[in-house]
Amino acid sequence: MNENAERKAMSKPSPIRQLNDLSRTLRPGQVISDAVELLTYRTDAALDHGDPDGVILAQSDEDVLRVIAWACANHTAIIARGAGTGLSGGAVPENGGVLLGFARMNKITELDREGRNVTAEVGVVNQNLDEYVKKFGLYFPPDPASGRSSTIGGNVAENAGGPHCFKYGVTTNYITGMDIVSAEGNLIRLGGRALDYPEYDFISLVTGSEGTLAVILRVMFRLLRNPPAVKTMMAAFDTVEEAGNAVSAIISRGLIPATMEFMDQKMMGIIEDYAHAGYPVQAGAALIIEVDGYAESLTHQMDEIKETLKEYTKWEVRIAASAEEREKIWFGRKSAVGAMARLSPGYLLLDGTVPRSKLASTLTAITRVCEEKQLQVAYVFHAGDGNLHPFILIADPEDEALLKRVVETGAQIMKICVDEGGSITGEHGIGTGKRPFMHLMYNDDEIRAMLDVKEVFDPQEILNPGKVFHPRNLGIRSENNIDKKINLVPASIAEAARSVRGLAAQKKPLYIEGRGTKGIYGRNGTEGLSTRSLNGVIDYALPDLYITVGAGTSIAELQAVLAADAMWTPAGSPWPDATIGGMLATNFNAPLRMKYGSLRDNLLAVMVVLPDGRLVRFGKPVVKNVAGYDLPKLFVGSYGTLGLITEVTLKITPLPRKRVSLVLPCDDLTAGLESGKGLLQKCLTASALLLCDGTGLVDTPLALVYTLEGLTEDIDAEISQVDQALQDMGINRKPTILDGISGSELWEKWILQGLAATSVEEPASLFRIGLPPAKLGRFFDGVRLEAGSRPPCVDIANGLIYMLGKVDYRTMQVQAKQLGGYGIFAAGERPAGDAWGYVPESISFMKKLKNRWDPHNLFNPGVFIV
Amino acid sequence: MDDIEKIELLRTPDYKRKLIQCIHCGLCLQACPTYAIFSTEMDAPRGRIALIRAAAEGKIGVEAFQGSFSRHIQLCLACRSCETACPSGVKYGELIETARIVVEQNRSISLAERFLRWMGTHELMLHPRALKGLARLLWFYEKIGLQTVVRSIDLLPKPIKAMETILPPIDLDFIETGKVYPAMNKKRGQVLFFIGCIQEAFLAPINRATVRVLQRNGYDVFIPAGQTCCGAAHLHLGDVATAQAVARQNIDVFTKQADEYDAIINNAGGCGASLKEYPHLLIDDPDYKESAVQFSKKVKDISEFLAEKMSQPPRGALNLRVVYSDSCHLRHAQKVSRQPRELLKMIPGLQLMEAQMPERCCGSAGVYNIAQVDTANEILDAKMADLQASRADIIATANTGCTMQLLAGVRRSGSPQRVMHLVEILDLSYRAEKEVIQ
Repeated sequence: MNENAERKAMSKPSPIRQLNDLSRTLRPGQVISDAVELLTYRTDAALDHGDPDGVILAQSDEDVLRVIAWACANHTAIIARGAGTGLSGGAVPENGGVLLGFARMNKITELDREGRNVTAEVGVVNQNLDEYVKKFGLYFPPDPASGRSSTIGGNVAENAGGPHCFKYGVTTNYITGMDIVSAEGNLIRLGGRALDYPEYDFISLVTGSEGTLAVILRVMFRLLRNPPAVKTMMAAFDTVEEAGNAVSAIISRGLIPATMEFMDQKMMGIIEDYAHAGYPVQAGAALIIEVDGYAESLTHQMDEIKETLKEYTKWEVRIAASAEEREKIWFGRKSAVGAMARLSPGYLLLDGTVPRSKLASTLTAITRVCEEKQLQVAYVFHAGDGNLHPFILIADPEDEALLKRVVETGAQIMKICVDEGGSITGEHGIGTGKRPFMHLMYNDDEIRAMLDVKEVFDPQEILNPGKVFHPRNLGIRSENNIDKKINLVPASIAEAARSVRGLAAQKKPLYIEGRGTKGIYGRNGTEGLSTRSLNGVIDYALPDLYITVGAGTSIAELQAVLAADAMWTPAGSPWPDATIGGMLATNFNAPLRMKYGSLRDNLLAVMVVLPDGRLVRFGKPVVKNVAGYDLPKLFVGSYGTLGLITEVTLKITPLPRKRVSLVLPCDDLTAGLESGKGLLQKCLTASALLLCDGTGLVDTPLALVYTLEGLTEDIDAEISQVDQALQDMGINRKPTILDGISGSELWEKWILQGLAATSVEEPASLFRIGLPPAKLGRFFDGVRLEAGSRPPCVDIANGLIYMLGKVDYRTMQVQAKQLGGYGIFAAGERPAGDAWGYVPESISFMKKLKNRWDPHNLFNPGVFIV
Repeated sequence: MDDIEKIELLRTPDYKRKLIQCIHCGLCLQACPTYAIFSTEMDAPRGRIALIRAAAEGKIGVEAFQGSFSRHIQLCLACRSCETACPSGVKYGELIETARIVVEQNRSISLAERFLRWMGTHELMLHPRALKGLARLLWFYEKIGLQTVVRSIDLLPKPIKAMETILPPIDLDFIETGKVYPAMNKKRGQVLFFIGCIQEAFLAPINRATVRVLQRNGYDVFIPAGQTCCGAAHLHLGDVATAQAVARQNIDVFTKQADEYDAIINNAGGCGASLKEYPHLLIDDPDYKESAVQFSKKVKDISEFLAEKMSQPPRGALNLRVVYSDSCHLRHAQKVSRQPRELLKMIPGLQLMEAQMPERCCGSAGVYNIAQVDTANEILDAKMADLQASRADIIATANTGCTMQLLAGVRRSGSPQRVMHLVEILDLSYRAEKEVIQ
């Protein structure tokens, strides 16, 4: 755009000659430097363009390492590119540089069926991965409309969404690990196939960073069981408002359809012309509503939705009668972007998000702006998650005045979304086009905090330079007023920020605590700063499914507020007093992930005081937001070493209509794990699968607990599948059914009782081992449990083992590490010295980031690995 | 840039409109067989359109017309699979066809290539008698065992070897032109049959099977004399004038009595697409514009026609697994993909298998397997792997080029599969039924 000229002046001389040197180290055909051929690499699927100096098609890790080392030595910009289907100019070499293409690194390298995890190189096409795992009865939910061409690398770099995000979340929610090459040319593994590694969550940073922080080589995704049945309906409405209200009504009934896709009349007409999908083109608007689960529950779900819709429309709903019909409906929807070209040779496509209750008012505002500017607009959007896609038509792409008007209108639309509490981009990314509007989302301190991250990861600005942030912002830091008044139990966020600044000025170490429930800090009597007065509900938006609370709010208080509306946030702690801030900082949560995602997946926004006193807010109360780096998740599991969490916005969801646990007696660990492994393959509506102490539950030492939550029909169907699976495994015992009891409650009780019951010589500590779930059996084959010690509690679905009391933790850590996992003290007493036994591969970046924000190591010194 | 001949073809308002219809969304990439091999933009539809656009805007110099620009335009198979994938409705086939004409005007062509082309497209394809003469010679070459010798010593120059490789086993029982083959059973109508040039000379059994199946379904089949090649190869090589000339000849021959006939039947996807597109080819010819439209309306692929008019479903059981390999020009250009499958499914005992990517080109693509031997072979290898994985006994085809290419593919990969035109399989079922009756 207009800063191009300025950037151009700064750019380096053409690296063609050096490129030739590099090409000698690669195979023929891997380097493209022919001027004519390079013309085909000027754009992605958006409007911006730029001329690359060369293209390198990577075929192996070694190629990438060589290229990055070369780029470092030559100060050449590297722009990673998958299939070039991005809609924000992310892969456009606007100021030259070398495109690093990944289309040839397209192998699915490992499928762990038992542990439900797949490893794919970044050039794998999204749809191919989806189809591949489906063959094994597994499901990879992210489904961007470009999925039949777009690559995994692009999806991860943009944190892509798609229609199924309303129920299943976005790409970042499925990544457990990735291999990256840093800007300095080192191959680093972030995370792995186990969960919740003791390291800063750089996976979340790199995901959605649009290629500006690292080059991704391959990604490990957790998978779900593929829902055995799906039903799709088209609902038509007279007006856009009616459709918007219907969406809210469906959600408020506690139903969670897999998708709710909206199209207006104009859009339907355009698509129908191409796809012949049988859209109700006479109606003012339509929704594609899809439900999935067991066949037994779908009819009932559909009936309930139909019943709800009756109040909002006179139109008959149409239910797809065959797989073919369903595919047609989706094929049409996913062709929307391209089909626009039939109407108009150019368009601007935006992707702002708003809290869903603001959909109707936002649409009205956008339509008004477009009318004022005499522009035509058509809409499709993911109504379930408030993600709008207005297309502004450009009748003549060469009409400069018209283009200017369109861009101005785009800016106004983004402002409307932010004013409604949303984001300027929900899934396409900032890239080049939305860069000037980042200030609508973030203040200077917040943008600077993001730029700090960029400088830590890519100090030389080699990786996709200039994207996301306006280059002018680099290198400036804010000055803070220093206040001497320090209150260790701040009553307000402002006071907390003031106190931190005061302590920082005195270079005094600071320990953060919530209500001290986990007691793992061992800080020798030093007084901590407590968040306990930063409590209470700040903003509760039931129809928009989020709640904002002070970080010192206890989990029990929070759930009580929500329970009054039959809602909850999927989180649990053994200590009712545990604060939300503390749970996030230690990444300590009940075994709920299989169905609900982890804490980081349910965190929408945080307000944090950084160690230098900057008060910053990251995230928005919308489920899709890819503007800038995804910093909220960075604070999850960082043990308060990066900042003081003061305010938290969480996703909320309707309380399940039914909750039961199947309890199966187990004689020993091996047999229990073996049965667990078999049952894991059945988990669809299940929320937990635990092997735990059988005391009080069954008359054997151990019990296998299988918790189901959701719709009655789904639960009943799954119970009969579990029964069948047990029979198939030759297990004749029948599980008992405990109504209303969940695995989380049993886990909580076990920890509380265990920590209380430990004797004088037994340390009151909770040790947690994380493993790739399929490796649980092998772990126990290799370690000896102390004779007479309490049996561990194994979260089979997530590969987590909890142990109480005296544990030979060093042996466990070594064994876990060999299997790709780790072992840490999660609560209670922690032995002196290095109790972690784990050095993340990303440790140097952890230290650099820590040093950047906390150069004097004042925040929670010695509490975490860093 | 004006030293580029015929560049104005890329600058007409109509062409420009078709170019900017592409919004480079990239949804075509995975549909493209050359992208599957090279993973490069310039060998994908979106990139080729970008190149053509650059050429139209004068950004491609004459030297690139001798080099990289031409190379990438020529590497396109023109299978038009991208058209099916394209949500924007880009008429890629028309774009690439015109671009090729300009490329052919400007690229340097070796004398040997000129000679071979002239021989092929003028002396043979346009003269059925010469072509059949060649077929007789080659039949002799196959029968006396010379082929085995030639193949084992492997000394032929590349383009000749490429042609030799796709030579099918020849059968000299040609169809008589100017003759009516009468309907069997109750007469339901009468059709004209376009026999094609190569199809008739080298794959005569397919044409005979076509006639029998039509007779069996109650149609008089008339083979007009004077019909000639459809012109697809000429257009493919940028020779518009000849393509237009043969189009006029065919229109003259077929429309003479077209009113009395239900359809103009053909059994080769590539030829059929070409025949159906005569109106576009002759759009600027005031004398033929109208008759081209009338002609093309009558053109039907055999499977398209039979799926609608089948009166005698095949009843002879064939206990075979069959995989249908779509002809690109039948599927993507003529949009006929359902009918061949429906017909095969009618055969008792026959189990229709599906390949992973039935819509993917086999690499034949007109003269592509002669002009771009290496790429064509890579594409063929991928195709054969897919077809073999389907576990079918028989590969059913619907086009001349595909049949010859897949026959070569079976040999090349050592596959035990047989290659048959789908109409031959139908014919086989009818014959099996007769044998049962007898």
